Amino acid sequence: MPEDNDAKMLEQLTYAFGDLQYKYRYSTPLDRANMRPALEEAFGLYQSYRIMLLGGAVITTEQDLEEMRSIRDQIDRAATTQGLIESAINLAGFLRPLLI
Amino acid sequence: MKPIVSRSLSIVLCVSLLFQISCSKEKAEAVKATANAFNEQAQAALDKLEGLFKESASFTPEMKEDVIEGIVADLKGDRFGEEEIRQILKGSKIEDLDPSDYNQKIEEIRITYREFAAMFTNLPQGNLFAGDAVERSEKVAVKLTVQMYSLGQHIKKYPFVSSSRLQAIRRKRDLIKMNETRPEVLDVKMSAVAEDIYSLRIETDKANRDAIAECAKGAVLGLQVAKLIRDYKKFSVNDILQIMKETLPSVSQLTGQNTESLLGKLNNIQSAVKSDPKWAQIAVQIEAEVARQRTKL
Repeated sequence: MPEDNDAKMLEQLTYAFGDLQYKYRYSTPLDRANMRPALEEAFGLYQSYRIMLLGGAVITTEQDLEEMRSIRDQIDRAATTQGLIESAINLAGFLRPLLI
Repeated sequence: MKPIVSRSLSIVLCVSLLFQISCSKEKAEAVKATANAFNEQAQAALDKLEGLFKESASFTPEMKEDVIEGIVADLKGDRFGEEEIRQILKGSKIEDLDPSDYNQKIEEIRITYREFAAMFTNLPQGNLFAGDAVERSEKVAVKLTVQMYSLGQHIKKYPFVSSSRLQAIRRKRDLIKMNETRPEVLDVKMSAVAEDIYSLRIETDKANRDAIAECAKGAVLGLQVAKLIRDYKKFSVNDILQIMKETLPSVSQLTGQNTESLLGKLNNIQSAVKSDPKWAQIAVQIEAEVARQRTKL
């Protein structure tokens, strides 16, 4: 049983698309060529509706992507700084016996 | 005396810094590894979703004899010329329908998980100075976890059915109905179709359940990475190793469970998010953002 209007709508689009797909599949090649545009249109509606419903589960935005890229830059900068400091410590350790 | 004290102190400081680097490097490696596992699991869940959609628009394969039979029927038609023969040529091959729009939407989701893992690529090399950046990533970790949970719910709410399997069953039924006149044989043959429908129901449940399981595994890993991020500054290496040890078995145990138990697992994740005061606040922000986006649409 469909729970909401979205589910009912999806069901109707799926029936229409599936019915046309079945007729197309078991038609002769000549009929198929004539039916193809209608089939693609029905599939387009089904696909668009599925995308719309999937969009309802997607909560990340373009701003989140920008934020993640900015955090990545911050971590990369931290890695560069830390690399320089570690090199300096290693250099100091190497030079220490020579300086004492 | 003073230079000796100062030299000893500097040695102690260097050793302590190197010790801290090596310890917190393990913590950073743990965050990086868990974020990578989260991404890989999310990609596996999205592969399943993409596969379910493709299957929902698939055709049953066609044998050569069927093609020939169809062409013969067309050749017997009254009108036959250049247009017809070209159309027959075109229609004699069933081309799959183009799912690129749906796949594009999936790709947009994939990118968010890839970007999340990519953030931590150099964390072990910058662990000492990246604490604030790790802290900043908590909100998006919670968001991606909630999103994984929502994808599982989405599949449960709007399940997919294999179109090619439906076509085969419908065709089998139509041919029996058309050709079989003996009532006792009709019953036997229709029983076989009924068996096919029953099998399809089981296969459909399994296919959707497998996809929900992948989402649930992803959400479990997402929750773990969110915990590691939340407590990154205060957790010891042992705490982190303990969390990783506990997470991996729970993820592997998710395969093969029934849909209700998987959804129960997903609901536990929602409860875990809501029971943490900071995450609950993030969840409220997410809900407000989502509501704003939907108002715009």
